[in-house]
Amino acid sequence: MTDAAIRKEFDLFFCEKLAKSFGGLRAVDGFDLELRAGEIVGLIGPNGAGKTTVFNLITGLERTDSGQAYFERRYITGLPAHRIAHLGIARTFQNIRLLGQLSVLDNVKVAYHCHARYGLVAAALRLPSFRRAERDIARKSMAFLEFLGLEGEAGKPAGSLPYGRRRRLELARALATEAKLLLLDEPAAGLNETETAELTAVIRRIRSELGVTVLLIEHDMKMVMGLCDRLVVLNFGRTIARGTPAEVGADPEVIEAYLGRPKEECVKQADGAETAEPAPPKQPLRPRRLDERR
Amino acid sequence: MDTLPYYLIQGLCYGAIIALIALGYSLVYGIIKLINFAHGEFYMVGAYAGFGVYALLPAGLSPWLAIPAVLAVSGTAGAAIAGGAEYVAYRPIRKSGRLAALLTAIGVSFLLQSVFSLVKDAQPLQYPAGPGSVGALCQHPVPVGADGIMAVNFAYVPAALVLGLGLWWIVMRTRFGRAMRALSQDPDAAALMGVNVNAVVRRTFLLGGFLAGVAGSLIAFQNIISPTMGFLPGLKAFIAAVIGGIGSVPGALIGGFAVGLLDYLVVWAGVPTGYRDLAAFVVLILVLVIRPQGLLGRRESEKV
Amino acid sequence: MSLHEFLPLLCQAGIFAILAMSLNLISGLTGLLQLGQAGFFAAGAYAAGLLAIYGTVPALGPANLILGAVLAAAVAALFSVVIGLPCLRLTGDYLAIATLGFAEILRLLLNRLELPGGAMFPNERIGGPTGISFTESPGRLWPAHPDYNAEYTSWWLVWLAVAGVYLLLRNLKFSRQGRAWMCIREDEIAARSMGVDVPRAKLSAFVVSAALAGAAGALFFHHKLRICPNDFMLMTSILILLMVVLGGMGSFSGSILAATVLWFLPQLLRHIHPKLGEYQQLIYAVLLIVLIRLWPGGLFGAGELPHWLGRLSGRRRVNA
Repeated sequence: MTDAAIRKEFDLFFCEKLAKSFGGLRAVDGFDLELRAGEIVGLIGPNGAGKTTVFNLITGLERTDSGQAYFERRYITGLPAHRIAHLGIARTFQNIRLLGQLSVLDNVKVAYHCHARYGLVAAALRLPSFRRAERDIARKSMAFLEFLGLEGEAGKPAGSLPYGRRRRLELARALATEAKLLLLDEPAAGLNETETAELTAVIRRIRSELGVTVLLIEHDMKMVMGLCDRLVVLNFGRTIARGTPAEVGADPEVIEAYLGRPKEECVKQADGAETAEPAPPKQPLRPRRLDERR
Repeated sequence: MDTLPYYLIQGLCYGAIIALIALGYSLVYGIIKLINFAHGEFYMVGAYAGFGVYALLPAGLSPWLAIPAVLAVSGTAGAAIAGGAEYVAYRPIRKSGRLAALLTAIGVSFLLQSVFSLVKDAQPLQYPAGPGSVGALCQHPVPVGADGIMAVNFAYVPAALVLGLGLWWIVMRTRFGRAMRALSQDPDAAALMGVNVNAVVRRTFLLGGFLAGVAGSLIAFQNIISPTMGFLPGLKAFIAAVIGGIGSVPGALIGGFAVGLLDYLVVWAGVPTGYRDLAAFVVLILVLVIRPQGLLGRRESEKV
Repeated sequence: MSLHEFLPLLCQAGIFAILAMSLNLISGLTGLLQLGQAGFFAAGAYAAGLLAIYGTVPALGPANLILGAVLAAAVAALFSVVIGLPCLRLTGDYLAIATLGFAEILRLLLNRLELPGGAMFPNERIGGPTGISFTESPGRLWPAHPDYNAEYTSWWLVWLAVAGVYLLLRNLKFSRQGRAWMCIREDEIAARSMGVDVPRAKLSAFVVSAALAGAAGALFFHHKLRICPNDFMLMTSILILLMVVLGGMGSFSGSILAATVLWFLPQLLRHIHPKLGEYQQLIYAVLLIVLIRLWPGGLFGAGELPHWLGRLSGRRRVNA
């Protein structure tokens, strides 16, 4: 397929050759991804594979070294994070980032920052445009809290919620930006089995009822395999596999990335790396990766 | 043109004093991220304590004996007041956030100033300069070009270098220094690894207070002692610490000398004295905007 | 305490209430440490003072004061943009020191600033360490009582301004902008990914805060009719910050109350015993240390007065 054809088919999101280095470490190295509207796609890989960095690059929290990204056929590489949020990409964080001192409702209202169209003066003087917009925001925010079953806790400070509810609240806040693409960074981390099942149902409803496309990072393989339409597997910043959950689950390289290679081979690799001329590996996998890890 | 050596030497000497204060600032900020506004007051307390001891010494004592005694006492007093402030004011609020700490430091600074205003009704004090006294020895002019520089000035740079390098040795080579460095990286992890956080913080304050106290007496040998004498040097030392890279011992030394030189060179360059203090602030703002981590500091970034 | 002593104090307390609220916007609500509020205060006071000396239009009467306040706010806002653009990239303590540095630079410059006396003081220079003074405020709205000092004729005007600023800021706090500011205070990265333009929001808080401090400066000049650079020392900035902390970070009603209490306290002590008045600085210092230790949240926490009352009566409400 040509570039243009790809862009047409994956008209929601498309990125190619995204790369990011921290000092000498290549955290993300040539990352490609395409998303169709309405998909749920999982981004998986071992710890330190560069998954969260990919999220940071897509949402503009970190600048890409090279590569490009398009959202709804719009070039978004290099835009500041708040512009990308305005365009319709929202995210949650691995270590929940809520505003602990603010109320649950206010946490969701913050997300309407992009959409409320009144200025400082209107707010300071409580002009009718301000009141109308605020009523609207309050109503919509409550709707999102209800969607996630948090309406009973609207007045509590966000910091007082138990862990699982906080994860939900962060999800509500991300949805309230009226995003078309939602990036979830380990949404099930720290949840028990029941809560994970509930979360899976919520993510399905996000797609079916709100029509939001979801890209999620997750370590819970059971959840990922059941929920996602497609998976992308990262290791050491590189994409090592992609496809349906079944295809990815059978990929030898993926199994190796998760379980490691047989022990003697590792030793040989390490020895080879120290000598000037590394011995050729038995399998033409990716001998460079071991070197890169150092 | 031939006045340049005079201003260069004066600048270096003043810079040495600033550096001694900046070292303490830098250490304290390095480990508990507190801008210790009261640090300039430790310097003032050192000067007062030294003067008090001098008044108690027998009148005819040789200045060569009196000076070490005065310096030792002022250093001890600086350390004591720093340790006391840490124990009474800073320790209880260490977990309450940076703003609380900063405000407490401001409170301690004003408290010390107002307490020492009660000494002789805030009248400035001065070492007597009669024949054979400490004042006469220290204030003896050494001709440089057409001007004279007081003899005591020539002790400042060696004092700053010796004390600064000694401190560096402590930070880099001792167990206590390693604990300090661990604490500055991550207090919780350091505590889990068995570092006694309270003890390290206390000793850091003691060290910083000692250096500031010594600096206070060094300056008092040639200058007046007053309750507000610590304010401006304190600010300049902070600027020096920022310029050098806060948390870095050599950075504080370099920053101190830089600020001292700057202070005198702007006068040499013909800038009216009223604008003299401005130069340090302008440089501070420039450094903060261009290279906020300072010359030798390291940059911290927040992880997403 | 006679009316004679009381009314000027009331006036000054009101001016400091506005200052405390303005600082609360930037430090309490947005979470940016600012140690240079006295600088914007000075900029406003000098702008209003110079306008009064050079450009008083007698026909306008009290409107001269309004003009002065508007000019003062504009000048202070301009300063804040110039300072804010480079400095707001700094975080935490560094920003505090940079703003402190700017306030000190401004004060040192004002110390050197000397201007011709204009039509009002021909053959004289004004400014410098003695500052600028003015014979009579054109803003006097109240016929002066022969016994009264010019200083306290417009106490009610000051408190009208306090009420106005309070309403303005409270409305902002519970708006989209206020939520963005609080979001920056709590978590800047979350704010960015929620679509908040962080540099712009910080600058807007900085500018609004500076403009209000500048307007307070205009009131200060028209109240004192005599200002000098030493009215705007670091101590002033710190007193304002103390009011903000005592009143509660983010609580504007708390700032008003704290400003009033802190302004009257030393006078009250002096009233009890003349000797106590000499220890004003000592008392503020001890108060600062003790209050932060015992009562770190301030009087009202982050809430506003109505909610605070609500909490007293047992109803649970937080922030909004």
